[in-house]
Amino acid sequence: MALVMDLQRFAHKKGVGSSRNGRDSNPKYLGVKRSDGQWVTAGSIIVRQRGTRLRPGRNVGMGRDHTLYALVDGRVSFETRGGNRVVTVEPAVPTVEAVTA
Amino acid sequence: MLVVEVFRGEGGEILGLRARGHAGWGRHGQDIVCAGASAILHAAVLGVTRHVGLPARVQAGDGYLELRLEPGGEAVGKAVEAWGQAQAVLETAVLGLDEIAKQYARHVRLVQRHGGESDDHGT
Repeated sequence: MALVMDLQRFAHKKGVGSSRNGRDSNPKYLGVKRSDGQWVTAGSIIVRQRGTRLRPGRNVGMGRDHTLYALVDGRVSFETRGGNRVVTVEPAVPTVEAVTA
Repeated sequence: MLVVEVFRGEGGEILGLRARGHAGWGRHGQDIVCAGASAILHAAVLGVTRHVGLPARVQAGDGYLELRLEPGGEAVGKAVEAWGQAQAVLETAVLGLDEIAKQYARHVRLVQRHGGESDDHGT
């Protein structure tokens, strides 16, 4: 019998379980950055999210990546309206709208 | 785990080698433990069968290589010297495999079999 020299005769032909792994993305640092009742200043980021898991309510703006941020100084409030979770900021001082109303 | 069995006769002479399993040190094509053991085992088989010319039974497959000397063969009767040469080749191979088994104990195990007894190295 002609023996063929095979230096991998005793090696597994398939990978050791890691051939399809080894990929990862960079962290996106998503999440709720300010909690209910917490004081925020205007411009503070309240939530970083993918899509609108949380919707902007009063005094909250939304960036093009759906980031929610405070429009005024005040306290953060998380509510549920019509099945949607909404983030609002209760202003520390009456807004111009409130004064004129 | 690659297990290499060394079959010895009553006088301690090597009657055969059998290697089974996979070293599992690395992926196919990158497994240096497998490559080292494969090289030693193949060289031993080639040395006995081609260089010494001793009749032997060889079986090979994926994860399997077995060499059995045939003491009843004509060449043995003709040349006792050939038997001694084969022993030198095989003992050298066993020494090499034993060193690999010591360094890579999780991947290679050498088992000495003396008429059914076993003496493990590198478990």
